[in-house]
Amino acid sequence: MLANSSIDNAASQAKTMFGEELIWLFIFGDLCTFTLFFFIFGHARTNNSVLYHASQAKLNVHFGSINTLLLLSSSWFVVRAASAARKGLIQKCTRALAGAFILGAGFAVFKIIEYIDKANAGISFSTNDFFLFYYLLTGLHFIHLLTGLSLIAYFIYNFRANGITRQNHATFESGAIFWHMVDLLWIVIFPLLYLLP
Amino acid sequence: MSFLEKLLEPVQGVMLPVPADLAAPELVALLFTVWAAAFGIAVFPWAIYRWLKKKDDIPLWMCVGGLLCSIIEPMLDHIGHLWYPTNLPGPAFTGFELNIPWLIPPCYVFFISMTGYWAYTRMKDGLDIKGLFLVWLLISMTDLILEMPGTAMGAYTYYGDASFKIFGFPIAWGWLNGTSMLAVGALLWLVEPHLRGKKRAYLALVSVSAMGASYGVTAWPYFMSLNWDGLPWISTRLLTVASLVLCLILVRFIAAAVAKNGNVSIKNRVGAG
Repeated sequence: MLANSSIDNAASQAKTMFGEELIWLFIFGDLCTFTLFFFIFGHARTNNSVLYHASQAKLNVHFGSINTLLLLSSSWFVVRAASAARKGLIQKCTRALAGAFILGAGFAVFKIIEYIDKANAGISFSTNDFFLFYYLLTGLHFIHLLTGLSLIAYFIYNFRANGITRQNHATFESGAIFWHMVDLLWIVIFPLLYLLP
Repeated sequence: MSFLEKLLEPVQGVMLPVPADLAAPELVALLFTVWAAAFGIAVFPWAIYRWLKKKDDIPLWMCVGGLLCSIIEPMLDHIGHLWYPTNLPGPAFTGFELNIPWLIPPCYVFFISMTGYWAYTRMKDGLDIKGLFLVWLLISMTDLILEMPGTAMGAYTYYGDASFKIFGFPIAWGWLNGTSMLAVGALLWLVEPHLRGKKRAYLALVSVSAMGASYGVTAWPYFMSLNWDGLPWISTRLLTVASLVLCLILVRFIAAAVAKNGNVSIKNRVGAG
């Protein structure tokens, strides 16, 4: 259980800022980078809309939709875990994290299937500019996802081994913020690549 | 060729001619420049905010230090067999007859200085030895995440027969750079409490000092594997593994000094936490 003083500390910290300051800096940098990518994609798409439409038609919207649901549900579990962690409920927290991990891993599995599907169809990042963006955006997002999954696995292990302390709670909140950013990025990448008319 | 012959096959290790004809695809060049540079540029407003509003000058000095540190890039590229196509945006500067693209100085700001700064904040919060190794692993991973998209898409290349390449990226750079970033954090942790007044400017030298020192300790077997002519193939791989072993030893040395359960007491560190 989280000690009372730790709850107070965590709560007072939460009033000023959720998570650690540096995670917000990282997220700011990451979002700046992806925003520039999105603008460059938009510009390139406008200049060559025929190619982009034809290439977009080769993507599997069902995979993208399922993955969106998986990731959104996973984020919901992370919210539940964060709420439980603040109350010092270790079991509830780690169970919710396990749920988030399973759903996130599901996303990874579908993404790998999709990559294999594209490789079998002879599509790579050098096929054309659309697929360069496809592999760049989804690939970087995939790396973020794997990083997030590793963090979730670590938090489950850490909470079970050491309980919830002020220090690992602050780190966990930063991890939770990171996971929501992974979610947010996908919410933009999915319509941009799969759905844009 | 038998397996044994393969292991003992001499490898050309002389200074190789750079792949001067290599050109990065135009879109790839732009995207990779954004990927590598945007983080570093985004850091500056935050560092200025920390300085003006929180009276915390460390991030700003570290940013300046990152820009300074990027000066050693051409030396590393030369002995580490890395080539940036000349059509990447730039050059920011030229050294060792190599063009260093614009993306490099801001890239050093984020991935060497600020990652080191992050390690420093972890050390200040109190890390045990295991925690320090975990930080090292994490920051080593950031190098892979930064570089692999670039080599995979052909934004730049590691030429020659570097060991253990994945998507064109020799993973030795992951542990070499990761260790150097950790060393930046450790040196900052050690010297920052001693620097007051005008001496704070010395913080700008932390990144280049620690990175250079770390590479001196850990990278020589790897660079030898690339540049020593006629070594058997297996020796080049073993030398690369030796650099990993040196990295682990250096991380353990750092842990001895900065970890809560390390066995070296840094008595002179003012306000050690």
